[in-house]
Order: sequence, then C-alpha cells, then structure tokens
Amino acid sequence: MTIIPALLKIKRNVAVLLSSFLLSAATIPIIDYAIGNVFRDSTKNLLATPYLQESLRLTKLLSPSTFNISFFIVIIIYLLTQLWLWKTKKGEEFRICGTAPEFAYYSGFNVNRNTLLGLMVSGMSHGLCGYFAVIGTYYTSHVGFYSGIGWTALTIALIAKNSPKLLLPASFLISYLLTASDSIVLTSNLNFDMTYIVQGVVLFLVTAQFLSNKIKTKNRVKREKDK
Amino acid sequence: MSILIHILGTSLPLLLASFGALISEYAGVMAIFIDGVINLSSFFCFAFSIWTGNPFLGSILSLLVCTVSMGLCAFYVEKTKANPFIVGISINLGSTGIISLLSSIWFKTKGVVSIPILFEKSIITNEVFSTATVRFGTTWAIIPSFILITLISVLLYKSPWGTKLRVTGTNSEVLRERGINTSYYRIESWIIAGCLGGFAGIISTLKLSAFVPNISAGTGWIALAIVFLGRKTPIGTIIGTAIFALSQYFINNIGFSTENKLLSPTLILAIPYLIALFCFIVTPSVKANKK
Repeated sequence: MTIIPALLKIKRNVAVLLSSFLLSAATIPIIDYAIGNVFRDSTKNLLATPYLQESLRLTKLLSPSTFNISFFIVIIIYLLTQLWLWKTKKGEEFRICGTAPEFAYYSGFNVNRNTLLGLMVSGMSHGLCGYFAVIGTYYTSHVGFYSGIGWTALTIALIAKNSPKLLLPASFLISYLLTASDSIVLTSNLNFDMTYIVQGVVLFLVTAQFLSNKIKTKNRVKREKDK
Repeated sequence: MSILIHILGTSLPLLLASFGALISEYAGVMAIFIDGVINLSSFFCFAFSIWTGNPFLGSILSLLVCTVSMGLCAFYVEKTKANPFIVGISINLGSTGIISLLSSIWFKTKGVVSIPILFEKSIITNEVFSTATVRFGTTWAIIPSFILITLISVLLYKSPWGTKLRVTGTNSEVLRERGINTSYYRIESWIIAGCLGGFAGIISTLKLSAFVPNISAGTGWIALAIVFLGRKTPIGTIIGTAIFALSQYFINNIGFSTENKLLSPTLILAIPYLIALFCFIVTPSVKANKK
C-alpha cells in the first residue's frame, strides 16, 4: 500500500504526509466495514472478528500481562536495521538520500528508489505492528483498535529526532506517558480521550527549540570568551 | 436551480477551508491544523450559542477563540522554531481530546450533542437554533462566503500585502534582504487560515443545529488536497472544490444513498479520500521530481 504515496511523491511531487493520510483515511472505513460486516463474529455484540485459536496466539511471557515474544522480535528487527543503516554502504546511501537528496542525486545515488524503499519498509513495520497487536495483544481485530497508533509512532520518531538510537528510549517514555494517562482516566472515572491530549501536548512541545537555542547561545558566548 | 444552491451550500465549509489552506500554503506553511480548527470552532459555536442563547454571538465568540488560538500557535512556532507540520498535527490531536473533555463536562456526553438531547436533560429551556440559523448554514451564507473569497483573491494578487505573503512562501530571503520580517506574514497566514477554518466549522454546526464529533469528517485534509490539485491558485481551488462538492452530491443523493443501499454508510466515508487520491494520480504534476 505504501507504494502509492511513494509513487505519488516520485511522479507527482505530492507530500507524503498528505497522500499517506488520504490513503489511511480511505482504507480505515473499508477495514471497519470488513470487520463490522464481512468478518464479524455475529455471536457477540462487539464489532470484531472471531477470536484467534489458542495455537495461533503468541505466548504470554508475564501473565496476566499480554507481554509476549513480539517484543524480542521487534528488538532484533531494530538491531538489524541499525546495523544496516550504520554499517553498510547501502545504509549510508539510504541515509544520505534522506538527509541531503540534492547531494545524493549528484553523487549518483538513486533517490527515488530509496524513497520507495523507505516507504515500503515503513509500511511493512506498520503492518507488523498491526499483526503483533492482533496475534499478541487482542487476539481479535476489533473496530478502532488501531486508532492513534500511527500518530504515536510519529510522535516517537520526532522525539527521537529521527535518530534510530533514541527510538527505544523515546518509545518507552511515550508508552509510559500513555499508560499512565490511561490509568489516571480509569481510576478517576474520567471518560475523555486523555491519550489525545497527552499526544497533542507532547507533539506541540517536541520540536520547539527552547533549550537547544539557549545552549547554543551559551556555548557561543563561552567560545568567544575563550578566544 | 435548487440543486445548484444545495451543492453550493454543502460545499461552503470545504471552500472556506480550502482558501484558508491556500493562504497558509502561499506563506510556506501547510495548514495541517485546519481540520482540528473546523472541529474546535464547530464545538465552540454550539457551546457558546447554548450559553449565550444567541447563535450569532456564539459564532463570533467561537471565531474569536479559534483565530486567537491559531495566532498564538503561530507565534509559538515562529519564536521556538518548532516544526509547523508537527504543531499542526498536535492541534488536530489536541482538539479531539479537548472537545471530548469539554463535551463530557458540559454536556455529559462524548457523542452527538443536539437541542432535543439537551431539552431532555433540562439544561436549557428555550430553542436556540431557529430555522433562520439553519438556513444561514445552508443557503444564506453562500453570498457572504463568495464575497469573502473574492476579497481574499483580490488582496492576494492585487495588493502589496498579498505579493509579500506570496513571496514569503516562495522566496523569503528576498524579503529578509529588504528588511521585511517574514514571520509576520506567516503568523498572519495562520490567523487567516484559522479564521476561515473557524467559519467552515460554524457553518457546519448551524447547518445541523447540533454538534457531531469529528464534524469536519476530513474536510481540512481534503482542503489541503484541493489546494495541491488546484495548482495553488484561487481559481484552481474553486474548481477543485466544485469537483469534490459535485461528487459528494452524487454520492449522497443519486448513486449511493443509504435508501438505495448500494453502499454501506461506513464505506461512503472513504469515497472523498479515494476521489482525492484518484485526482492526485490523474493530475499531472507542475513540478514533478525529475531526479
């Protein structure tokens, strides 16, 4: 599916954020329809597919929590991606195409191919996320289980300042914040979407350069003094 | 004639949102936030109308809240050099949470808030939204809206302010070299986009006499798509909006109405986005990536 925004970017110069949003917004009602009608478990009131057989589910490692082996699979994928990005020539080419496309173009790298590759890997990762959520956490696919996961992922990537090294701590931080906000809502009988407010506030503040500007000024003053 | 008026009336929120997105785009900022602004203004319009008992006053207050908050957000972006894309997304997400929170506190529901529901709960005793306000949301707002967008188009192309705003998006260094602060133009573009998005939300509420969660239904995103498809020109934006309004009319009233049961209402939600994607696929790019 992610080939569509990639091709629109390459062929039509359409912003990926816009085309991928439109694609998601078009796909979600179709998925909701499929879950609520075609694949729905008609014996239950929930708009969801039938529960997976026990044999198809990922084993819980810390019952009653749904923590399972998918965590380690994701860590392995994360480490392999790190190795590829930082220790291989193809990874270096990929990084250059992302950070300096003009330079990459004049260096003879295929920028379009790397754009396509990046978006396909991104789509694959998001697909894997949905797959693990169904076979490891919910054991069914219900309407709306995916809501906000993509935006959370975007928040994390931005907190990590697009550095793969910071992705893990940023993921843990946001997971902690969201889980904490959910538990506050549950214990205090509040029934609003606290998750959205937390995400909104984090995203609002995450790219601001309050500290970095001050630190830069401080360092510049210090350097000038040293001279 | 009545069909034309109906189509024009239903396309107003999209047209106003598209023009908001266009102005923002001219200043070099993609108005991601516009969808959130439509929802916020729609909710505040309803809430303030209930409080004051006057939809006109409610609309003015709602517009004021949206315009001022967008101005503050723009000021924050310019001062902190925050990413406007991300701040836009945060406004959309935050607005969903804020509406849900305030709706829970004020109206004791996260769902649709309409006058009959409020009557049942005896929160208000007089009818706030009259036939006149509903009519304003559908037909009477057509002329003021078109006057507004004509005025904006003239300002953009025939005034020094418009020229500077357009240059801010394409070549801000030139303005900076001449000692002009481009930040002001970007902030102004946010404010105008917020104001037009606010108008779009208000019209949506007045049309329904109720607040529906996610009332924008992606209008802000479709507006962004229209700006790109319309080659970032006022005429292109009007044509793009007309195409979407016509297709929406045919989807709702002819081919896929729920009475005909040709298509599920859930699937109908996907159609505007599919149309936008289809338009992107078939429309040749102005400045395609030639690398």
